[in-house]
Amino acid sequence: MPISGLVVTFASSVEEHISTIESITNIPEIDLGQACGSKLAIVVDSETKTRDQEIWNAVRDLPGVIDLAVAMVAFDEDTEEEPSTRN
Amino acid sequence: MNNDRRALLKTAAMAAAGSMVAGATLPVLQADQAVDGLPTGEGLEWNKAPCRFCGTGCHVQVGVENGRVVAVAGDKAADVNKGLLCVKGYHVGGILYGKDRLTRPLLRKDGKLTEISWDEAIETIAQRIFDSPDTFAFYGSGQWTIPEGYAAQKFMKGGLSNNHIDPNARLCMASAVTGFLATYGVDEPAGCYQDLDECDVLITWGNNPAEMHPVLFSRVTDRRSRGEQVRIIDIGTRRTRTTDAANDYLEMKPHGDVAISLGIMHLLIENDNYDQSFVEKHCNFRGDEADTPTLQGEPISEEEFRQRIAKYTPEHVEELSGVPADKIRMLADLFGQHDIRITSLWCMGMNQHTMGTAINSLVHGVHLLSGHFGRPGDAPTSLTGQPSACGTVREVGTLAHALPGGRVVTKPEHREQSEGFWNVREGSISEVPGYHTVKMFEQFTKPTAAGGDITTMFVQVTNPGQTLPNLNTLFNDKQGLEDKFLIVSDVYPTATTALADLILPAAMWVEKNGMFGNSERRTQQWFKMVDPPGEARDDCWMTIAIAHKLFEMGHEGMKDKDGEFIFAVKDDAGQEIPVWEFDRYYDTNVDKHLFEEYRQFTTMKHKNLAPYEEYVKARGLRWPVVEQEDGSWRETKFRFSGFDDPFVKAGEEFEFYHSSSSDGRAQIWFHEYQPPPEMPDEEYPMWLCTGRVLEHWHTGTMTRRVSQLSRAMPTAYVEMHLEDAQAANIRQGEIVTIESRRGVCDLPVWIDGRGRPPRGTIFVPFFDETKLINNCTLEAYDPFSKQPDYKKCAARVVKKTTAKVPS
Repeated sequence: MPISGLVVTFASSVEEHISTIESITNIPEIDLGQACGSKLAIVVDSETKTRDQEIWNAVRDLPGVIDLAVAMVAFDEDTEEEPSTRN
Repeated sequence: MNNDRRALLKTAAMAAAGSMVAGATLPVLQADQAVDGLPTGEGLEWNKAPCRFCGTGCHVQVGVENGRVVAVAGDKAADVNKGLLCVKGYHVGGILYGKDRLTRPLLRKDGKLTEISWDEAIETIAQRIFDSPDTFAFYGSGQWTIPEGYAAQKFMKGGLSNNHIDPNARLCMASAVTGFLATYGVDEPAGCYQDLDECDVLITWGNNPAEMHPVLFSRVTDRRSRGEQVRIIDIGTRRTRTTDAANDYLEMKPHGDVAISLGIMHLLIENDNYDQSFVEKHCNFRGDEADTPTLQGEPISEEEFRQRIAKYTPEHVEELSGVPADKIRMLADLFGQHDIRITSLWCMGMNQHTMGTAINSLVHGVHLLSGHFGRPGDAPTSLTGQPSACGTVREVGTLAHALPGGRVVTKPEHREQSEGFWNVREGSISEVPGYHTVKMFEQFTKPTAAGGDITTMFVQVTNPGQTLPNLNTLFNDKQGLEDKFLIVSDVYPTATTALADLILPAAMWVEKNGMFGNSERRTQQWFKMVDPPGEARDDCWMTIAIAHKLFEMGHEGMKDKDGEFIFAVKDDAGQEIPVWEFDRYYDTNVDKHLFEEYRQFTTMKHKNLAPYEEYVKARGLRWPVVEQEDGSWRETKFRFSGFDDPFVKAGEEFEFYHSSSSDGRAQIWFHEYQPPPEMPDEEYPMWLCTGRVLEHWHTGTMTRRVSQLSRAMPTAYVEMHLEDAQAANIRQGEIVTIESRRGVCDLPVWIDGRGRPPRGTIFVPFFDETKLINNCTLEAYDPFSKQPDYKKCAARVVKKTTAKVPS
């Protein structure tokens, strides 16, 4: 199921959005990472794609969040490539 | 998913996100060892090589132990990357060790691939060519090393008198070439990467260097962390990681770049804000001929230029491009400031364009008209996507119309010069250009009886079965044509080998000697460090071995004027070394012999190269490289600029010494805006754009064998705008079918992902051989460069399945 490395961008410095960060912390599938300036790194590890979408929507709708970017996603765990067998 | 893998992915995801936060978007890894501080151990040796990926030309230090590459480090002695590597470069050593390397020649017999000997393979190819030399085509690559490309070029044009040789670079940078030729009369950027260190403004035109040339982009963003001010303006059709670092994002409609550049020039003229002194001294105005436009065009007066460009008001440009008029004014105001330095960067977005030559010329024109040219930081610069697109394709000239060193087959004096350097008989080189890539594959996939006059094709170092546009027509239709014979040399099974009749296992990267030429005119060299697996062999050897077999069969073209083999290499005693026998190939340095022969070609267009040994010592040298009075060799950073270019006349500030108007001036072009060749409509309402991702290099043949990269980006996907997805009741991760008039492709949907296309637009990366998006893309091409447009065609998205959500 999806694992995403995301970057939350706030309208101003991260320190000015403590209550929003608390809300993010309260989402059990999220781990907080590095923060710098107006950006905060998070990882979302959810059980289902539906839950992933719910979390995505919830974070993006939190007060002060102006952007949510994806740094990395692993959503297709069943397609880990074996070497090609074309021949 | 097991817990270990889950933990690994979480760690990788956190690292990627953290690096974007800390490093202003860039997941670039810092190598922590200096060149002189690299660890050594029993049997561990380090040697330099340029990275195998992209056109940046980063240098790596390669650690070899017990005949195997065991480590890679960024090379701190390298000016290009100063010790940095991107995630691909960091894993470049791993590309040698995929489990499914091709190790034996394979011939399709009764439909089944069967192992054969190298002797049989070479004899089979030589016989096909001997029987029908005119219907043979060689399809090569910007990944060919310089000696490989030079050998193929000499074999075809000097030996077989056949110009049907073209590279995959036709698909990625041909329009940049024609843009430079039309503007300056000679190819390749005048500036260099130092411009990125010194510009005040960087404009990315349909370009995403944060993912495609990340080490270069870090040279810009790192300046901010040092407190320097650099303004980044991203002009594009979708938000990317480059947008994330930009101060301004101007979202344009497809083909909007043409209108934007015309709009900037209109305002510079209208406001009398252009650099009159630079234009009067160094430029002419040029326009298309009314009847049959050519690359040279026809001279027009400044007044005529003013009249033609008058209608490109900011408001009209807004209509055409979708970029607000005030943003066009902002750009024009910036270019009107002469006390700042502006660098433009572009790559596939501008080149893969049915107006590719035009938009390249127009962006050069914006810089020339405003005088933002030729000072460090002031440069219009195209980047290349392959490691030797410049060195091999553009300089050696492995194109259907070209000869080495900027010569062309249509000019008698150029053919004579080349025949002289090659010591082949007079008239050996045909004056008729061969087939460019799209035409070559059209002729190969068309039945012979219907006029398909290419019957045998040799593909080296590339994967057209995945990269050609409109694959169903240009590649897949080969199936069933029994008289057509496809030979493919590669390192791994690919979409191309799937249809091959004969597969040759190739050596790669540091399994052979090599030389590449990067985007800033830098020629780089490396030595073989490890043996290839099994019976894999050098591509250059394959070409020479086939040539020698033809020589043995009595093909006159394989003899020079003295009756000797055209690739003859002699030792100091004058004895020929049988380099066509693979076990004798490394008795000498064949690369050095070929390079020194090729060097003779490089002076006509002032692309002078130094002797081979100078490149052994250096981390590359930027041409023109000129010998100094003390015997040393000096490279050139800024071409056409009097302060640095040795070929500019003494006392001149600038001189465009290959001017197509023969007066030392560059050409400022006017081109009328034209709409794209295919537009969305009711049946196919979306724009489809294709491209690349950070983790994978082109068709993923190599990077998908590196587990770290494959896990980070396991599959292709389609980026959609949330509202488009909602309108079609499509959710994140669901599989949809992309349909165009040419084909279909099934993909999972990624909404608000790494790239964020606007409504009505979808984006698909092409790296995934299990999801061939080029079944859908359009083969329409630029009339001058013959480069197809992968960036815009009409498509629709059809929901295929609904994700099964556990309750």
